Amino acid sequence: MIRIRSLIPILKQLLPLAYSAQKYGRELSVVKDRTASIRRNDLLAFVVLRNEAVRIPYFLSYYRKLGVKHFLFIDNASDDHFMAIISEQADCSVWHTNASYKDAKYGVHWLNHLLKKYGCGHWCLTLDPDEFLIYPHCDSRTLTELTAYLDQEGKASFFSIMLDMYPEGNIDQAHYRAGENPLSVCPWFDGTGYYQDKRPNYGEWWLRGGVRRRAFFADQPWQAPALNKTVLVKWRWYYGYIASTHIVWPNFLNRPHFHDTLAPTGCLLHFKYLALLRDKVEEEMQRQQHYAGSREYQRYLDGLNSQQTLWTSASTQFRNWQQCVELGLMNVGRWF
Amino acid sequence: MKLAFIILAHNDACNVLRLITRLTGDDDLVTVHWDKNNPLDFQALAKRELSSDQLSNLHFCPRFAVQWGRWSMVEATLSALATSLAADANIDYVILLSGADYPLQSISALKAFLSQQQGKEFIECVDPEINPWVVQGLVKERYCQYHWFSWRSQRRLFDFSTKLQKKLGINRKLPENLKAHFGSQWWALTAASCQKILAISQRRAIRRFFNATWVPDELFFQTLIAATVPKEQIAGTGLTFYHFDNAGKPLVFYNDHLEFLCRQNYFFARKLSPEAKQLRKQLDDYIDHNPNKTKPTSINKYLDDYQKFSAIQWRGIPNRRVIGKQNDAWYGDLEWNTQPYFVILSNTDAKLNPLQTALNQLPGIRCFGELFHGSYIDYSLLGHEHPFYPANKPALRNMKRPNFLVDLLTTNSSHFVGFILRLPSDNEMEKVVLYDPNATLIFIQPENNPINNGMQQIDWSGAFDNMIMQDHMQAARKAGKAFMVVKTKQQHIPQKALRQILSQLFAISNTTKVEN
Repeated sequence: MIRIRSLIPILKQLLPLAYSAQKYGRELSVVKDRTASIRRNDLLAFVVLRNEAVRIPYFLSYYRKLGVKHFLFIDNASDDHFMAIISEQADCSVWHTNASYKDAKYGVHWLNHLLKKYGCGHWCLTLDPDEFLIYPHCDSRTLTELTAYLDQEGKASFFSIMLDMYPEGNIDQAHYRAGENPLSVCPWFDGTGYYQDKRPNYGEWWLRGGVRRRAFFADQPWQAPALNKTVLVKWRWYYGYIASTHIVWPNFLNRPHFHDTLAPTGCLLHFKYLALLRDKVEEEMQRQQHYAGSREYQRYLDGLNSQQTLWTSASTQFRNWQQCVELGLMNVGRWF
Repeated sequence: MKLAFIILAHNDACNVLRLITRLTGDDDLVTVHWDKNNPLDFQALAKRELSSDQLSNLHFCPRFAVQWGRWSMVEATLSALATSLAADANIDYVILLSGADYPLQSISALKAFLSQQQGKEFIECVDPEINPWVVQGLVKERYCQYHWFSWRSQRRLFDFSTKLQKKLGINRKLPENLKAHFGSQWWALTAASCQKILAISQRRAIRRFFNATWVPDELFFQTLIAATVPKEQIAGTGLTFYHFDNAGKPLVFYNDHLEFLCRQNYFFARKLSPEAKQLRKQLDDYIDHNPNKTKPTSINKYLDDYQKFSAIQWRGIPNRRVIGKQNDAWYGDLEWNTQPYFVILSNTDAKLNPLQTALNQLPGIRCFGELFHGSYIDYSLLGHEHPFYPANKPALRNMKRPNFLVDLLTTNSSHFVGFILRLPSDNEMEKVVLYDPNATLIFIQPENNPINNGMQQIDWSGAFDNMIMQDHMQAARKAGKAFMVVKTKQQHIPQKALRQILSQLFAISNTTKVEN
C-alpha cells in the first residue's frame, strides 16, 4: 500500500528533529511546573528568553487578553529578577538551562521538546518576549476565535510577517519601563520596502526588507534576516521548528494561504530597537551565541556606536491593524 | 400567546444560561437538550445559577449523544419537543434554537409578529429538484443511500460506502409517498404541526428510513411539514438568521458584527462566537433600550456588506499587495501598482538636462534622473530622494528594481513621476516598462542618419542606438502600448519637440489627476 521508498525523505527530516528534541530536551530542568492546569483546547505560548524580565509584565498581560491560557518559559541562564516576577503567576511554567543556546540551534531544539511534550493537540504560539502578534480584527476578536476559525477551515498554521518597530529618536534614548506598552516608545515602522520570494528548498515564502535591511544590511541586502514567521501552529507530535520560528516542518505549515483562496495572515510587531538593545548586543557579542557568528549583532553595535537613528521622513506611525491591511502587509482573507 | 423554545446545546454552558435568561422573561417555556457527550451536569448548574422564576419555566429532556449529521440530532429534537408539549397544553409555537443563537428582537415583538401571521409554519422547505438548496457535496445521496458512518470520525468508510452504493445503484424510496424537502435545521412551527410530527415520528417505517439518512435534521421536519401542511401555510423561511459561505461553512459573528446583525430582519441570529460577550450585551441593549427600532413585519436578509466583502477578499483586494502571493516575481510590487508614471527612453548621449529642467517646472510633474543606472542612484532632484534608498547605496535598489520604483511612486503619490532610462541599459527595467500598462513612454529617437556627410564615414554607434530604439518601439507596439516619439537630428532636443512633449505630458498628468 504505502511504498517504503516514499517514506525515506519524510524520515530523513523527522528522525533528526525528534532525536535533537529528545537530546537537547534533557538539558532543561523544571523549575516551576503548573502544566497540570492546562485544559483541552487551551491556547499555549512557548518562550525562550535570557534577561528579558523587564518585558515580561506587559507580554503576559497582552497575550492573556488575547486568550493565551498557559505560558511555558525556557529560561536560558537569566541573572535578572525574572524568577521573582514569574513565581507569582499561576499560569506560567518555567524550565531552566545553562546550556548553550547556539548548540540547541538557537533554542529550537528546546522548544521542539516542550512543544512535543505539552503542545500536541493545542494551538501553540512560539514567541520571543519582544514579539506581539496582531491579526485581522485583533481589537474585537480574540486569538481563540481566530484559531476556531482556522480549525473550521481546516488550516493548521497562521502565517505572519515581522515588522520591526523603532523610536523616533536615537535608540539609546528610547527607555522602556516594565509594564509599559512598547508601542508608546516605538510607534514607527517601515510601511514599504518589503520583498517576497519563494524559497526553493522549503517551498515557503521568504520575506525580507524593512528597517533591518535598509539600516543594517544596506551593502549586502540579500543577507538581511528573514521576516516570515509561522508562530501560531496547531501542534502535532511530529511537527518541528527548523530555523527559529521562520520555518516549521512539514512544509505545508509554512504556506500562507488555502490552496484556492486567501487565508488571513498577521503581523508580528517586533520591539528590538529600544535602549535595552545596547546591553543585549554587548553581552551577545561576548557570548557569540547567535546566528552566523552574530553578524547581525555586530551591525547593531556599529549602528549604535555611530548614533544612527532609524527614523526617516518615510516612516509610518503604527495605528491599528486596518492600517496594515491598507499597506498590503496583512490579509483579512475570507474571515468576515 | 405562549411560546416554547427548544435549545440544542453541546457546550459553552455560560452562554446557554444567558440565552435562557433572555427567553424566559415573558413566562414562556424553555426546554434544553444538553448533549450527552458533554459530561457537565447542566441541570445542576442551571439550578445553581438561575432564579426560581426562571427555573419554573425551564425543562430538561432525556439526553442523547448527538453526532453531527446523524439521526441522533433529530432524536434529540424530538425528545425536547415531546417534553415541551407535555409540559404545557396552551403552547402556540415551538421555536428551535441552538446554544450559539441569540435573539435580535424582543420576545414581545416576536409574539406580535407571530400573531399577525395566522399560524404559518416558519420553516425552509425546498424541493431539491426545483431549487438546489445544498451548496456543495451530496444532495440526493443524503436520502437515496444508506448512511451508517459518521462523516466526521469515519470519513474513509463514509466515502467508501457512498461510492460503493453509487456503483451498486442503490436508490431508496421515501416511505408513505413522501417527497423529500430540504431546509435549514432551525425552524418555528405551530404546536399543532409539532403534535402531528411527533405522532408520525413514532411510525416504524418513518424511523427506519430516516435513521439511515445523512444530515436528517435538514430533511426530516422539512419533508414531513411539506407533506402535512398546505403550501400556502408554509412561510418558506425560519426566524433564525444564518448564512453559509461558498464553501458551505456557517458564518460566525463576533464583537464587531453588531451593525450587520441589527440590519437583519430576523428574530434570532446564528451563530455567535462563544467569546462574543460584548456583542451579546450590545444586542441586549439594542433590544431593550432602543424604542425607535422598527419591528419587522416580514423576514429579510441584508447581505450587501457580506457580498461586497467576499467579492474583494476571496482573491485579494485588487491592486493591493497580498503577503504570500505573487503572480509574477519579475514584476515585483509593480504588479499591484495603479499609479501612472512616465519614462524618457533615449540613447546614451542625448542631452536631456534641459528637458528634465523644463518638466520639473511644470506643476504636478516630478522628473527624476537616471534612477536605475550605474553605481549610485541618480535622483537629480534635490530634496526628493527616498529616505529608505540613499543615493550611495545602490544595492538596496538593485535587490529588486520594480519594488524600488513602487516605493518611490507611493512617496510621491501627489505627482506625476517620471525618470530617464538610457538604452541599452544594464538592467531589467528597460523590459519591465515596455509591458507595464501604467508607464507612459517617450522615445527620444535620433534621426536615421548613419552616414556622416562631412567625413564620409559611417556613424556605427548612432545606427546601433537607432536599431535598439526601433526594437523597443516594436515591442511596445506589440504590447499594445501608446507611446510618443521625438525625432532629433542633434544631440539637443529642438525647441519645437520640447514644447510638444511638455504639452502632451501636461495633458496626461491632468487627466490622471481627474481619474484619481
